[in-house]
Amino acid sequence: MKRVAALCLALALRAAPAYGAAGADEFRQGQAAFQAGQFARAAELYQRSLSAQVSEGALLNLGLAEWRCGRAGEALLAWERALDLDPFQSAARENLRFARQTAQLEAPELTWSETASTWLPARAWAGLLSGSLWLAIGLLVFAPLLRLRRSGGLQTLIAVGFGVFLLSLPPQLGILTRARLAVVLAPDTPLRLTPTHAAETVTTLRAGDMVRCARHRGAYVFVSTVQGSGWVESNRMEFLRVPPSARDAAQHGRAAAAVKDGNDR
Amino acid sequence: MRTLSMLLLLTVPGALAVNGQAPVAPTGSALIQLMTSQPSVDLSAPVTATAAFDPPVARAGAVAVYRVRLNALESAIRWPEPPGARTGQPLRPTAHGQVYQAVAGGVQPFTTFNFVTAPLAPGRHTVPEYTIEVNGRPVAVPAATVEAVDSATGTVASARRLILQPALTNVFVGQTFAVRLLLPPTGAHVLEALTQVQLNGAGFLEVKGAARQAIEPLLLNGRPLTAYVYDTSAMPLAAGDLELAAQGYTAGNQFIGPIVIRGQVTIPGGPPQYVLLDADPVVIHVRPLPVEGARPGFMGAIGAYACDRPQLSTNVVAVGDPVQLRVTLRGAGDVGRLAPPLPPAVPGWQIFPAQRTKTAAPGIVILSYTLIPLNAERHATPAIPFSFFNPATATYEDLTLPPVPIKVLAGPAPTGAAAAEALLESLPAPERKPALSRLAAAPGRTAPGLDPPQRRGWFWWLQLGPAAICAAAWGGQRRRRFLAAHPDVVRRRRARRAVRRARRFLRRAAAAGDARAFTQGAVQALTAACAPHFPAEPRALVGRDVLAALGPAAPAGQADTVRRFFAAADAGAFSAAPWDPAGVLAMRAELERVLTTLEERL
Repeated sequence: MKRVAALCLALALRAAPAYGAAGADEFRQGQAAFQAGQFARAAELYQRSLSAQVSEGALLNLGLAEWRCGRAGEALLAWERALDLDPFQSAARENLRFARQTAQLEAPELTWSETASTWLPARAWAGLLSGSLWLAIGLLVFAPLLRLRRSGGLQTLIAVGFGVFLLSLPPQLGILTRARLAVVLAPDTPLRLTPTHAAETVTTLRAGDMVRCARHRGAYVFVSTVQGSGWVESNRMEFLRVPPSARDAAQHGRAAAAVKDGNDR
Repeated sequence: MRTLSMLLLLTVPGALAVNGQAPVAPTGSALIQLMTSQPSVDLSAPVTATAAFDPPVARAGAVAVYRVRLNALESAIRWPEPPGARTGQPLRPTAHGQVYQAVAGGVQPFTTFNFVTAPLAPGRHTVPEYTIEVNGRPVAVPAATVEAVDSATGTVASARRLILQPALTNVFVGQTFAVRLLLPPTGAHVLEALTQVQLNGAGFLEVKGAARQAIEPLLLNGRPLTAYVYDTSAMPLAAGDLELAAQGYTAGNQFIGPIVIRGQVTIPGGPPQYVLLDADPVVIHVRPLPVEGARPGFMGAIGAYACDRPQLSTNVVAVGDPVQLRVTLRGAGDVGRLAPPLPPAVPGWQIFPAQRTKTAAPGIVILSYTLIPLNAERHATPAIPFSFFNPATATYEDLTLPPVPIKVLAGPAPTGAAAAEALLESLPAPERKPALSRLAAAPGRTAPGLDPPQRRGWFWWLQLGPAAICAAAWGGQRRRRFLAAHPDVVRRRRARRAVRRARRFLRRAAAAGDARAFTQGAVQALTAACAPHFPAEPRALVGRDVLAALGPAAPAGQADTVRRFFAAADAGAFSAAPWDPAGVLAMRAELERVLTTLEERL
């Protein structure tokens, strides 16, 4: 029994958010570099810190460093991610407002379920969903076993559990659909009519514009924006939620695209 | 632009330059300089006419195009009678146009008239030479011949024509619809550009701004080919069955404007030939807009529209001060031609007609109304009625611009410092300007990754844990209820367990040669195996009960075995005489058979 308890405790400690363990050194070095005015170096260090451990502070500071480097797209992406991690973080929200006002960018149009999903962190919504569901089902199943009387209070608790479960379903949908949002990173990104390099340009997207991706075809993604719909090269943007391996690949792709643009010019 | 310059040349006296004329001395007028910088128009050359059939050898039953070309202005040409009137060969006029072609020292106008024959009968058909008037002088049009051969004779070319493909043939008056004009290739994928493309047909308005050109592969009558595509839009202005046709000049490689080319084609070089091509007319059924169901605010908008929430430039205004109301309209129809909804006459408001602003994004237009409140009793801007006709549903749909809350301050606009201060006090607190935050001092909240748990597989697998616990609890509860309703099952199960236990005891006793324990164990096993049949506590049963449980159908000898074991047990317990246990241990095999029989009945 003691072994089981020790195992549970170890698992709980592993699952619980760790504060200031991995990536803390890079975080401190990033702060030092930022205060010394070495913003590119600071951004690199914050990226390393995030590779070790995703934290809202590192995301916020990464956005600030990228903004100082003149990379509006990367800055907005970092702040959007910080806000996604903790919707109650006012600093990231203020920074996004400032950046969008300065760069004259429009905030993304969210559906009502997506708006609801921003009220709480995604992990809280997940806990609410499973907790309320299993609380209601557990009370239904275990009340006769524990010989609990079917009182009004118990039935109210079961009804509340099911109600919370049903109410937390739309935010789950919003969380899943928000995974299609991406931020344009490369400046003057052409939104093309067809997924080809020679296709007609419908409009030009700026760095920091948010797009909603619909489908992929080769190296292109069909996106819809406030300015219209069309095809964008996938290496010119980055999803809000992307695994680190895909992020690295995208960064390499952007670097290649930048070199190519430079050669074209 | 070139056409415009030609018109200027023709309308300004003395500005027309002809071949051999001395250059005009430079003047200070920019207009004159512009005109004199244009190439001169050669109108002095003798007018000649050419006439030919396309193709000169056609398949019998097919049509041919009879094309007459003159080096003269179109407005100077008079046809005394149709060209086929005297020949009996019916020729239907389909297109005519004028184009300027470069010649030595300037440009020369060329006018072309196209006629289409009826389906040709086999044989030679000739339009003889005839005379037309150009600038009041007779000009001879030479004879032209077409030979119609049987289709079995060999491969013959067909007339080179355009193909008109309207997106809709059943539309409403005022509804813009897409029109596609195709120029199929000649020979081995040889394609040319088209210029001076125009839609012909009474009652149609061509939307020039929506035109675009491309060369792309497509299927034509089930045959894949790469064709020149000219996409434009048309709008019917009258109801009825209207004929829509098109024409255009071939322009070689002279593409005007951007073009997307897909597929493998050959574009001929050299100067363009400017051959006038036309398309067969297509009948468009145009219906008038229904009168019933019309809603207020209908300004002729046809299509599918939606509007964003109107926004005010300020939500607090003094009486007499203007305020801007902006609304963004989005539509799949022709937004560029959308007439803004007229402002209603509302007491207490002076509203000026909307200013329309086109955006770079297609299908979006911004309307700006200027409103002036005339008294302080207003709490919201008036609703501006607007509706459109949706051709998909053939109904009018309401899109009234909703009222927007506004606070109108009483009295005239503040002029003095006190009034301004009062106005400032009544205004809401100014929105704090956003600014960049400071650096975060600590990493703060962390997460295993950017992906939320909902997008990870383990989260959904984790839900199986509580599901399994609940399912197990529910199953256990159900089992308990079943056993409570069927106690016989429990007794039999207990009896089987007791017999198994007693048998193990018997084996140990037999192995140890303990006859007394063996006898007691045998009696316990026999009574335990019979207990569920009565039901009764095993210790309360006697040998007679076991015999009753065995019944008369038991194999011979088993009843004796039972009697002997009970007798031995009684003797061991109650008899004062010495007890010989040797015979009991020898009956182990018989005892096993009896127990097997009793177990089978459990």
